[in-house]
Amino acid sequence: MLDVFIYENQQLLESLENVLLEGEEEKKLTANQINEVFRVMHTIKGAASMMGFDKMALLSHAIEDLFAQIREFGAPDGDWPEIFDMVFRAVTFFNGELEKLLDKKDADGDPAGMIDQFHQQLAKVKADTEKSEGKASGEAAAPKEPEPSAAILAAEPGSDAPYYKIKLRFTPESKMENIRAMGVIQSLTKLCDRIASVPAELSGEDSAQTIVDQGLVIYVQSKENPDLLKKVVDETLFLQTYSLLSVAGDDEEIPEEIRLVTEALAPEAQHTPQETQSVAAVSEVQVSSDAAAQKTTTAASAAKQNFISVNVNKLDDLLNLVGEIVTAQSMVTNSATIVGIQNDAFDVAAQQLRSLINDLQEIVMSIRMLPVSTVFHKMRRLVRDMGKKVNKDVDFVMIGEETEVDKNVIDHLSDPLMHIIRNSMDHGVEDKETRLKNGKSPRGKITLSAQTTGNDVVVTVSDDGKGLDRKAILRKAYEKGLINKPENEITDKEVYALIFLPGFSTKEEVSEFSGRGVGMDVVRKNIAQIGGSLSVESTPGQGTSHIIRIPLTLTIVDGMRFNVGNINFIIPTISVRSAVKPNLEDIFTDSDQNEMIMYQGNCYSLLRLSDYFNIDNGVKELQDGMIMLVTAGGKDFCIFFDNLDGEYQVVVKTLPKYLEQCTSNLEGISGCSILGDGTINLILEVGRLIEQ
Amino acid sequence: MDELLAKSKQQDEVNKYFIFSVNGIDFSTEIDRVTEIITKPLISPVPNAKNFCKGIINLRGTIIPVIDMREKLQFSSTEYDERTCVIVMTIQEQLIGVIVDEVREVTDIAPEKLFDSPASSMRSGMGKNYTSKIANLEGGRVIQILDIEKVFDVKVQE
Repeated sequence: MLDVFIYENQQLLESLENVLLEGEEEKKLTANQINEVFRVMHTIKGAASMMGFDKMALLSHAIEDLFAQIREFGAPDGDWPEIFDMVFRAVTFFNGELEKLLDKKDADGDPAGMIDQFHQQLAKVKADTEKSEGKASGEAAAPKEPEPSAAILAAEPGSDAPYYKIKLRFTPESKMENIRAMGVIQSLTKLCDRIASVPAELSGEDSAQTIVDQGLVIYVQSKENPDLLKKVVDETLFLQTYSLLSVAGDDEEIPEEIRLVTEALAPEAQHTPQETQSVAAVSEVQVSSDAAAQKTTTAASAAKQNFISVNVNKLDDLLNLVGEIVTAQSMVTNSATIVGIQNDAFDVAAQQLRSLINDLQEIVMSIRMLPVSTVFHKMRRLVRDMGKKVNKDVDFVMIGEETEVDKNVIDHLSDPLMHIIRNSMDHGVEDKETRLKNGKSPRGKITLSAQTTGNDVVVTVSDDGKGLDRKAILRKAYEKGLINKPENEITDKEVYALIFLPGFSTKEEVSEFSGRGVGMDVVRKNIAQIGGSLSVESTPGQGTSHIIRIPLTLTIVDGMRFNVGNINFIIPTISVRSAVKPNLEDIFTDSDQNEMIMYQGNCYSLLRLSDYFNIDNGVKELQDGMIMLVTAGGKDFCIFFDNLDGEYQVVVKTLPKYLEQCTSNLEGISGCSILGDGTINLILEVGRLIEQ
Repeated sequence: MDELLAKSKQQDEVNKYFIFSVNGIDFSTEIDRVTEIITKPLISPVPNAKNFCKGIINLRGTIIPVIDMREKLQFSSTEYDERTCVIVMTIQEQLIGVIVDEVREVTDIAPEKLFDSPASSMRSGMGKNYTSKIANLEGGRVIQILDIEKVFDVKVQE
């Protein structure tokens, strides 16, 4: 139950955030977007109070109130920036609370301050709207988005026109009764001084049901001939029956807003006829756009029914099971070979089983694939928030957000991206003055793109800022003693790679977002952990690109199997350059007893895995074993092992946690995998072997 | 009546113990810890393993570390034979395989037959106090109830 609550609200908040981001670009929300905010808050309020999260319910209630006001009467343009900020803050608050619930903690955040702000804002918007309404200028009327259903249209002061009660019912097959009701009211509005309906609220499914149950009652005050009113009502589509009765203006059944009382000449009465028209025109547009929106919603919900949401644990289980089936299948096939059964029918059946299982595996993998757009949209919010704080206008462009990667890759992508984008916002993009001075547009630009290449996905973050400062980086590197080569011997690529070293940061002061010098090395480590790589390209004055290359999936890896003594290893094929029997003359030892090998004209360090992992029964003599040239993070070196077995596609499993307490060092092993022969093979993480 | 039955049933469950022998000594643990007993497992070694860790096994797709109880309790090691078993236990929500010399039986031990281990108040031995209780059964048979959590000291990770 709680899971569903969290999941649904996260989805709602995500869509809300997108609406806000879109709206903010236009500096205000359209009527539809206001409705959407209102709808989301209404839903959250309902769900939160049902689950007993009163504080969340109170906050959403406050937001709902504000947007109810805006929906009816609009908000002055000047108030929008503040409103956006407040709602964004509220979204952050809600998300924070949901996170807490997800971690099985109490949702104990106190939104009281925020609620106050919303109340104040509501009062302010009200006051501002009334003020601008008093001016009766066209400009002030424009942001008004009156709800046609509840709209009380202006009556001329002291109007004594007669009142009528129109009751109508739609045919059972009409559907969308509320929308049709809006239509009728709309056509009548032109003929009437005042109009009100029961039910008054016509947006939402509830009102449609009410109309079905009780019919629609419209009270009007009109100088027009009743026959004309009848004619208009008569034109309504899907009309089943209707009646038109004359009623007294002060009849109690007439909704208060339009009942004949002296006080009824409230602010609305001060509208000039001209303005009334423009308001009516606005409402008309809205009805039709609402109807259109309704249609798209129906279409969307029809499309939605083709999707179901599944707990990701179930998918993990399914994937595990498929992995097991793959293993079991090769065990069966292998044992037939071992026993020496020669049977064509068996071979055909085994072949078919294998291809079916391959298909199955592919489908399971594809189920776990998700578009990167969720992560990308999070970044959009980040750019927006940071832009405000550091006072930089930055356009955020997303390319290839539909690119799909495995769920667990997505989970690992968010943090590194956030770090990089923070860096780009903080250090990359210059402030407005500097940009103008350098002949650039005052608005910066950050592009986030994703594309698949083979088994990898490449995610690039580019900014059009000042680029990396080669001199500053080098100065810092010399200062910290990170390099000792003379400056002219270092390529740009090497210089840029320095920013990934631990504790490296050229920014002198520490800012809220970055500059603590724990940035890029952590980012690189995180990406390396999921088998990816990070590189950077930069052109001074034109910008910097961070290129992240990660595997599409973490669960299946192409790897080569070899053994050292009685331990089997799998090395991801992506890290392997080549493997050979070593030539003894090519191997030598330096003064520090480090072994080196000359291979294909280059000199590489040689790492004996049996020494590294303390495996006693590994091959000792070089001529008995094999050498593999491997690569990780731009560094190449050779490893020495016993025997190469072959290439496999394996399902990656994590090692049991308790194993860490059972071994002195597991550095360099990222997981394990069960092969068809039932053995467990350790997956080698080449990058870790040399980082030590 | 039903209530009484439920209560006695519950007590029954609490009192069931799983008995195994290591180095000729009968040890025991609560039965609900034990999920499975494996004979003749295929153990894959891991590098840099501490002496008590023999490697990992594949239990229907789940990888489980395997600990030799002889080494863990610091007895001398022996060759594995046909009676050697791996008991898979749940400890702090993690599965751990425990190699023992022999699996004996599951037995009921009434609470009044259990005594606190006197060694817990002594400053002798290895000071680990892995034995939490001692049971005195019919025929003078003595069984040591192990504090499994203490023996394996599983660190709950963040």
